[in-house]
Amino acid sequence: MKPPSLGSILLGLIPFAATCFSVALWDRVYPMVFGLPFNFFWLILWLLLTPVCMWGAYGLEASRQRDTDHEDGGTR
Amino acid sequence: MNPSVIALTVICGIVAVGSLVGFLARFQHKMDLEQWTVGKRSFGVVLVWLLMAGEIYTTYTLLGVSGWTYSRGGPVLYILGVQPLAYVFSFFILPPICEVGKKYRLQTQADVFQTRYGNPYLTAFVALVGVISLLPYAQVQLTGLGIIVEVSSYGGVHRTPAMVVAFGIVAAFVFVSGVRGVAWVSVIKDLLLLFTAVFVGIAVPYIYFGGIGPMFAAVAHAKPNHLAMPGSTANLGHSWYVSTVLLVSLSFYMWPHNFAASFTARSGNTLRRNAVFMPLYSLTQPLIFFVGLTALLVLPGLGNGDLAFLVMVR
Repeated sequence: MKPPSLGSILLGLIPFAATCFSVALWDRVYPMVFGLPFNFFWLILWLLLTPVCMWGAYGLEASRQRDTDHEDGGTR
Repeated sequence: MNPSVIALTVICGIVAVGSLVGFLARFQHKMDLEQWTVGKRSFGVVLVWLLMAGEIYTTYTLLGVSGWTYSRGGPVLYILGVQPLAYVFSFFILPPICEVGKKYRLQTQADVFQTRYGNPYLTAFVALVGVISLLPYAQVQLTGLGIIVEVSSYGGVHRTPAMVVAFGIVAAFVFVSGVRGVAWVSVIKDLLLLFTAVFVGIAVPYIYFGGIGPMFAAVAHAKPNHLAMPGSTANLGHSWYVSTVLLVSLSFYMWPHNFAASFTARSGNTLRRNAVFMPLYSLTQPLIFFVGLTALLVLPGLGNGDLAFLVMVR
C-alpha cells in the first residue's frame, strides 16, 4: 500500500488551518450570521466543508489505487 | 398516570428493543473469534459508520456538551474542532491499519504493535495502557447512564441499580453477538439521538425565546463574554483551544475501541469513505449547544451543569 499523495495531505490540512490554527481570527460573536455568533457559524460551516475537502482527497486516492491495480495487471 | 411511570415505561421499552436488536445481530452469522471481534472484516461503509458513531457519540454528547455550554460557554466549541479533524486524520491512518490487519489477521491494537515491532514487552505495555485508559472512560459512561435514568424517571430509579442492569444487558448482548451487536444497537441509539437533538435543540430555544437567533441575541446581551473563548472560564482561551484540538483529534483513534473498529472494515477505501462522511454526524452537536445556552438563561445557578440538558427537557 502506497503512502498518501501530497495532494490529499494538502487537502487534509485545509480543515486544520481553517478550524484549529486560525482560531484567533474567527473566535468572535459579531457579526452574527443566520442568528448564530460568528464562531458557532464558522465551525458549523466547516462541518460541511470538511467532507468536501476529504471527498476530493478520496477521489485522488481512489484514482491512484486504480492506477496501481492496472500496473499490477493480472498478478493479483 | 404520572410522568414518572410514563418515563419508566419509555425507558424500559427502549432498553427492551435495544437489547433485542443486540441479540438478533448474531442471526445468520456463524460465530467464531474473528466474527465476534471484527465482524469477519466484512463491514461496508454503513456498518462502519454506525459502529464508529455508536462508539463516539455517547452520553457525553448530550450531557457533557450541554453541561460545558452551560457552565463554560465558548470553550465548548473545541468539540466541533476535534471531531472533524479526528476524521480527517483517520482518513490517513486507518486504511493502513485495516490492510495490515487483513494481511496478518490481526484483531486488537496490541496485535498491530506485535506485528510491526515484534517486541513482546511493547505489546504488553500497549495492551495494558489500553485497558487502563478505558476504565475511567467506562466509568464516565456508566455515570452518565445512571444520571439519565435517575433524572428522567424523576428519581423513581436510583442510578446504582440502573448502572448494574444496563451493564449486565450490554455485557450479555456483546457476549452473544460481538461487534455486530454493538453496530446494530447503534442504529437504535443514532435514531433516538438524532430525533432528540433535532426536536429538543429546536423546540427548547423556540419555546423560551421564539427561535435560535433570538436566543443567541439574548445570551449575547445578558452574558457578553460567554459565547467567545475563554467564555465563563479563566484560562480556556485560544492557546488552550489549539493544543486541546490538536491533542484530542490526533490521538482520537488511539482509543483501543476506535482503533480496532478499523479491522471490521472491508477495505481501506471503506474507511476513507467513512472518514469523508463522519463530520456530518457532528451536525447534531450545535443543537445540543442550543439547549445548554437556553438553560443558562432560564435555569441559572444549577450546581451541576451536566444536568442542564435533562432538567431543561424535563
